[in-house]
Amino acid sequence: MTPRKPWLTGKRTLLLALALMLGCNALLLAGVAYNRSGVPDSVLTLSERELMRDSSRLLDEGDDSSLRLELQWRYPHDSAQRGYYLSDWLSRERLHELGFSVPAAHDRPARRQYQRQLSRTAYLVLEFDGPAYQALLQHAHDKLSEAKATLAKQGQKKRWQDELDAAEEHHQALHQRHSRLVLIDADLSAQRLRQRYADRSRYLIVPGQLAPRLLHPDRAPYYSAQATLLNPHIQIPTELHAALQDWPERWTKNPLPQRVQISTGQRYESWLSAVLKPPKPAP
Amino acid sequence: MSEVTREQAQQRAAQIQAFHDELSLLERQQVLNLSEGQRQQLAQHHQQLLQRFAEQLDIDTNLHSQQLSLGMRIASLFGALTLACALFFLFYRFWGVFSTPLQVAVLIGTSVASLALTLGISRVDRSGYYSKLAALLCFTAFVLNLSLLGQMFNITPSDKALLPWGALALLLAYHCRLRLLLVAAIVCGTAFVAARVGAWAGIYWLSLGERPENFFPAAALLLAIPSLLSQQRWHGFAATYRISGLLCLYLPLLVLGYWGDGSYLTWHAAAIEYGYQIAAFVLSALGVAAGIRWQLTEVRNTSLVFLLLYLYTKFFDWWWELLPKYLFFLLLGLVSLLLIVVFSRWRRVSQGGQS
Repeated sequence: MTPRKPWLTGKRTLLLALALMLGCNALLLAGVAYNRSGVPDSVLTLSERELMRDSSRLLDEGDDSSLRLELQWRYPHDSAQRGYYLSDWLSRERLHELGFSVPAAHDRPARRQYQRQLSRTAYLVLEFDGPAYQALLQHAHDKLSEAKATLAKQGQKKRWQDELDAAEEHHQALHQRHSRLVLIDADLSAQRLRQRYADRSRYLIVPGQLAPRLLHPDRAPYYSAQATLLNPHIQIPTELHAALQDWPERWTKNPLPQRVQISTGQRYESWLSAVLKPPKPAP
Repeated sequence: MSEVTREQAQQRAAQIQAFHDELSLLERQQVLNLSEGQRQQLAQHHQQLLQRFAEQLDIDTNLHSQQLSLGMRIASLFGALTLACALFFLFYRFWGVFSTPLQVAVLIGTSVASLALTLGISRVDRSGYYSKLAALLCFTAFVLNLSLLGQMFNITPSDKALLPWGALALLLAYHCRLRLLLVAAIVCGTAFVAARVGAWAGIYWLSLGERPENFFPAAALLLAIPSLLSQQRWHGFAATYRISGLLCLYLPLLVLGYWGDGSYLTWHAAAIEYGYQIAAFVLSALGVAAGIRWQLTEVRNTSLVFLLLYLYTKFFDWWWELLPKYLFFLLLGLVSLLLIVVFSRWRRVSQGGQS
């Protein structure tokens, strides 16, 4: 009996593997082209406060010649909770809309039930130098005034002086160093978010992940969600390396005058579209 | 003559050697004596067979060459891993020097070139060591191809990349008969299936580990593959599928037996944990029985390892805090002795001896 020839011959393997390689690359590049086609969803001009050089790279500079920037952002209300940074930035109704089941009670079984839920993907809105940032500045200013008044009233005790120093430091940091990108909203639909936040030069919509977290175990609001950007890094094209060679990894006392323009496309994937130098002063 | 694989030829050579050793022993014990003509005919037949195997399939015909082959296999694996690392670091080192179009061309070109190299070498390499090395390099190049392009253009990470990686690894594994690449394909495929199951439940794909039950469909698929598609021509592939399937079943059971909150079930955590512990014992015992029944050594051994792991984990749960440590380990030792007695009795029964 004539033995059957194997189906997977060398020629078939070559053709299948070649089709796989070229097809995947074509699909990937087509997706990139589609993302960058048409009018960008948003175009923001950011400084080193909002975009730091990525310091989390696996390899050191000698082995990795690529350059990446990482988006820096903050929650609208400062709250350090259980070792991670969190806020009540989402209302109970919005948590429901995002797919989380928020219990009415806040006893131990209810809290366990909430935290057992899985993290979900959603679109996040980051507002640049807008009302949310101004509210943060006002809050820091109020805290500073409060600390000054307490010190004046209670006398020059170390505790009140330390609190005043911390309030001053925080106020100054918010003014000069911290990112002006503030996370203000989330939704399952990016289109709905763009309808709510139409200004494409101020509102950046990015894909993110929300994990259910307990905010306060003993007072309202009890439940919140911790946000993570799915794609916080932006690769600097080789052509722009020279212009951004001195871009810092952390804040310096002498901020750079350059700004970078970040565009976000049809698939909400961002890219660095331009490096803007400050205009020369008039003679 | 039907097509014989290298592994089958090697097995045949080992059988011939064993046959000669047994024949010599029988002749010395005067149990069997072949005539001179029969002995010559036999020797000539075996010599021709082994010579043909050695020429066409480069098998080991004696102990010395077997030991050298083992060394070559280790060197081949080590070489493949180090060359893959070299490729990885090479890309990252010179990345910033190339323009974007050149980066794209280099990535795609490297993948295609390494594929051509792999298939070209496999046509002339009888031993298979060089083609296996090239195949691993090709797989590494393709993984780097897609992941670096994704990084360059800031594409949102997706589980969909696992599919082409797994598909290429599978193609190369079957072409080059390389179990390491089959494992890579299984890992990619398993992660993809688990991620998709999780996505249907609404979770982000990178959080697939939050629910170990996501791996059960992959386990079922892997265990079914050797039954649905014959792997006879690929030595060790069926065992690889079964071991992978059992790992995808037993490891999540072990985790869920102690982490009820990680289950999709909405019961009380303690009830979920007890349920999964019972399921773990039952399924691993059934695995041992199935392995003995159908003579599947890898199923029997894997299931036995996990059965013992579940057992000792339960002992730790019950007695670690309760007993002095020396007594705890003494108890474990006594249980192990008891298991040896039980298994040896089963063995005697299966061989037809008295129980």
